[in-house]
Amino acid sequence: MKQILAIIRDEQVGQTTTALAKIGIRGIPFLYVTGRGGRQKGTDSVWGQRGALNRDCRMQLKGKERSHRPAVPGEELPGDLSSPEKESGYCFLPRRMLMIIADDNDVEVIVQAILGASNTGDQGKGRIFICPIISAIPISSGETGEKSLS
Amino acid sequence: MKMIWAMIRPESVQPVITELDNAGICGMTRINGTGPGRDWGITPGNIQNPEIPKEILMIVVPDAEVAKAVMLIRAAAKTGPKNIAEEGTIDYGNIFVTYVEESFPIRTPGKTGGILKT
Repeated sequence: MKQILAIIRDEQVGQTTTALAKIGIRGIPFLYVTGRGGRQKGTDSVWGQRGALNRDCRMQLKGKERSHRPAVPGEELPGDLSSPEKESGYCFLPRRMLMIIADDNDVEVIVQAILGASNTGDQGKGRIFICPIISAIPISSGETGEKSLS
Repeated sequence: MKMIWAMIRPESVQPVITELDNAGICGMTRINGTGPGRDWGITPGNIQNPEIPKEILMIVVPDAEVAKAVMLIRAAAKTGPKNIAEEGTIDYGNIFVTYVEESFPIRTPGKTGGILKT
């Protein structure tokens, strides 16, 4: 068994859910997370200048353009100026993390579905991690092994 | 590769990120959470509150950098207000390290090869 941790953008959640439902994967937890990639250290991007965008700021990002182009002087930037973390300068962007526990043979199909739904070519689309899982036990029946996944 | 789950106190997050930044470990994911810990929360008077706010940092690093990252997190996460922890009521948190078999960016998945045959 494998655990697939995919960190994707908010606006790709709907497409990803649809793509996974087509291959029979339903009932996936989507966590609200914030994160950054290896290239977003400090104040390199326009988002870094605004400081950390924590969970409370997420709603203010709806409908705003997200890009890593340089800031134009005088331009209004999305983000929360009243955030207590504004001076930290760490560029944490809101993302969604989905977790799927799957059989070994299904991993590639699921990963391809996530890639097909989430990859539009822009930078900062997210990342996929695949980790080994030792056992999975449904709370209701308590059975273990491969049967527990279906 | 290893995945480091660092469950730390919210006030320790900024020192930890600063330390990891200085060491060149930049990519990470941050999750809000609550948890009671070993002491089952705090008990002011007769009221028990098992939901103590925590922050979870999820960091994926190469095998060679695991020891360094864990050491940095441990050192930095201890710089919070010590008076509470020294009383033995609230701890500093936990670090778990798990295996990661594959890691690739969604935009350019083919770079790392791995299980993807295309």
